[in-house]
Amino acid sequence: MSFYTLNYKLQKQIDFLMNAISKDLKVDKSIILHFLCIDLERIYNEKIQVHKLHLISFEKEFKELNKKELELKAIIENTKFKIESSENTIVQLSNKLIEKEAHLKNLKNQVAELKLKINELNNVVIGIEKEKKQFDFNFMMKNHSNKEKTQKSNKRLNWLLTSFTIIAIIIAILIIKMKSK
Amino acid sequence: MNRSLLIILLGIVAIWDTITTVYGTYTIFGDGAIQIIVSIGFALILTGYLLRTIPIIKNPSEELIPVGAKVLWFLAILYDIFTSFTGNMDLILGNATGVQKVLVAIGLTIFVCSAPIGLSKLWFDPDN
Repeated sequence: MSFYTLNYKLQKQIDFLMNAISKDLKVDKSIILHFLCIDLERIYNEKIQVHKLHLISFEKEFKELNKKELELKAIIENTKFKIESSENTIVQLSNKLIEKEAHLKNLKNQVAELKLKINELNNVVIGIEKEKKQFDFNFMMKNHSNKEKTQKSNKRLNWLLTSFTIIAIIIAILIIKMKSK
Repeated sequence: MNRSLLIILLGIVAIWDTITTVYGTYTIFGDGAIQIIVSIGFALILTGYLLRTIPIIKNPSEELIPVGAKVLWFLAILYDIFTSFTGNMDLILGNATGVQKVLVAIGLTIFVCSAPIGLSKLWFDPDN
């Protein structure tokens, strides 16, 4: 059934109704049509108003959503920029970290080398100290033997100590003899 | 104090040390002529060893003989302390009794045993 067929059917029905009302109320068909048109106009105007209001509220909502979309876009752009700058900072810091690690490794190697040198020097110092002790000892003994050979007082003391030892042995023998009696 | 005088005084105390060493060794070995001769020989070696305290202790060499000499020196000191203590208790403090006998004997022993060491120091290294 087409739109025009429907319209023709409706028109026929409207005609039939208007004829029935005009007969009932004994009013002219044109008057009824006039009031019907007024009513219909009013109904359609009200419907239009409702739809208008809907459209206005939709427009407002749309504008707000548009505004929010723009704000969100701005936020996303801002965040994107911040992320990019953070990434750049991270890359820079990573490079710095690698440099510092290399520098630290270098310093550790230098410290290890210095420790080796210090150990070597310590060994040298210990060797020198040993040599010094040996030298001091040799000097002391040489000094003593020179004094024994050259100084008369040392020779006299040598004889004195020898005689003391002999005296000690004699006294010891006497004491033992006394004790055994 | 004059060095020679100090050596003489320490020498006199070292005489007593030698006497106590002979006497102490004799009391261990017992009676007999051979025992007396061995005691005397032993005391002479010990005294000689103690008189050479400074050259033995101050020798920095780490070879076997100098290190061995240090060990023997230490044993000699211990034996000297033992014989000196025995000699002092028997010969000097024979009539004493009680704790003071032991205390005086210990003091005398330390004094007597340090004489040969002091003598060695004055004899070999008087300048330091």
